[in-house]
Amino acid sequence: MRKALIFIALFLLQIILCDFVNVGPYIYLCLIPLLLLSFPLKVDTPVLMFIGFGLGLGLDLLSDGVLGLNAASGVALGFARNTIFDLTVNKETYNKTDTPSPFDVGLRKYTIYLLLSILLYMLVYVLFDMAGVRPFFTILAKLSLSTIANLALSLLISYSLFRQR
Amino acid sequence: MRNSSSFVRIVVSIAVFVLLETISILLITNNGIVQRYRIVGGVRSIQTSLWRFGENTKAYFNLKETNKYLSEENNALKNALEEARAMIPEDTLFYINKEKEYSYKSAKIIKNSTNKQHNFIILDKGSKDGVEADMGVISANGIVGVIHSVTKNYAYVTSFLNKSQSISAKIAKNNIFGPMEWQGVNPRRATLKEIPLHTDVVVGDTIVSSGFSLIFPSDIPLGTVSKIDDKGGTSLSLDVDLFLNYSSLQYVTIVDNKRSEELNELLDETAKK
Repeated sequence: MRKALIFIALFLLQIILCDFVNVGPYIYLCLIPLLLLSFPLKVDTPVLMFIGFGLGLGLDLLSDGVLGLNAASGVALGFARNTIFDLTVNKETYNKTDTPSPFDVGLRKYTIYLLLSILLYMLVYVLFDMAGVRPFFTILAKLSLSTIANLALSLLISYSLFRQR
Repeated sequence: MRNSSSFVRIVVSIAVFVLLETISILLITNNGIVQRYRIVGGVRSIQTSLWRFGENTKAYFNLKETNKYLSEENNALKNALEEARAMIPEDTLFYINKEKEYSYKSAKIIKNSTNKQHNFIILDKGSKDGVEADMGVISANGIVGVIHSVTKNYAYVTSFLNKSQSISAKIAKNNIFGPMEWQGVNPRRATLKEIPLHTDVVVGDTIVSSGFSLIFPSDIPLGTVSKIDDKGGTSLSLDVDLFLNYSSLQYVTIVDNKRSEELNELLDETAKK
């Protein structure tokens, strides 16, 4: 129940971030990667992709973004999440019924896991949004600054939420 | 057995991935403003109410600044009126009954985006107020955009801050004109293109609307030249610092060109010949 409430609160926070917080043209604040990573590892990849698609499409509809942008990014992250986890955290030592947290897997591994996930999400988002119409360095600047900003925000939220668990 | 089950899972994952990404890409590519407006009309109406509430709250806290802006605009209009009166000879006993070319309506912004590649604005005036698609939207400090579609109570404006939007602008001092487009990053900067090489232009010159469109009147101040680029020796490209701050816009003016229908008919007839 508590998890569901936190999930809804984070999704509402995401809509507020999109609609009312303007941090400039180079930073896109997005909590969808964190929301997707908050699902237990036992959730199958196809199911996670549908969840990513639904979350992204919901955000696209409720914010003023281009329809499909967050959906495409959510699907990509849903597809790769378990692989990213296997690459960054020792999967054999982890209980797959749980959601990875910085306290369980260690801050360094969790940060890399989060970084790769956000980077993939933002890569798909920025490429669909800007590729072919904006210079390479503008795309690179948006990708890197958005990834850093979202990593910091997601780490902050993860720490505050998981510490109380 | 375990290997074949794992293989099936991989195949299913890839199939779902391809399916969902295809749907997403179709949504992105077909995300025309009109389709989107129709498909998600219901969602938008709820959204608009939420935005209206948010913008009203924001407007309340910005009342002081709005009053200052309105007062300054009022003064400028009064001054312009006085100057116009001064130009009429005292012995003039008649007035020219000239049909008005443009009519103006004020509108309040309910939603305004400035940090996207395709920015838009939603106004609180719709078809019941006489607002139609293809009308222009301006403010005292520049061109805001063009009305794309209207519902009964609201109008959807394609903002000038849109990578597909272009307006005709000219250098105020010599009337040399060209297309002006937003650069796509800074909401206060645009580019005036295709200016002939021989043109007398310096940094600081004022750029205004040319009036060579069926939408906007001429001589609306747009900005000042901040940089001059020689585009490969063929033409000049001017960076323009816009007067209008799109992020703080709250009230705008909708422009209706009374002669646009007649002009369109003329253009259509000419095209047929």
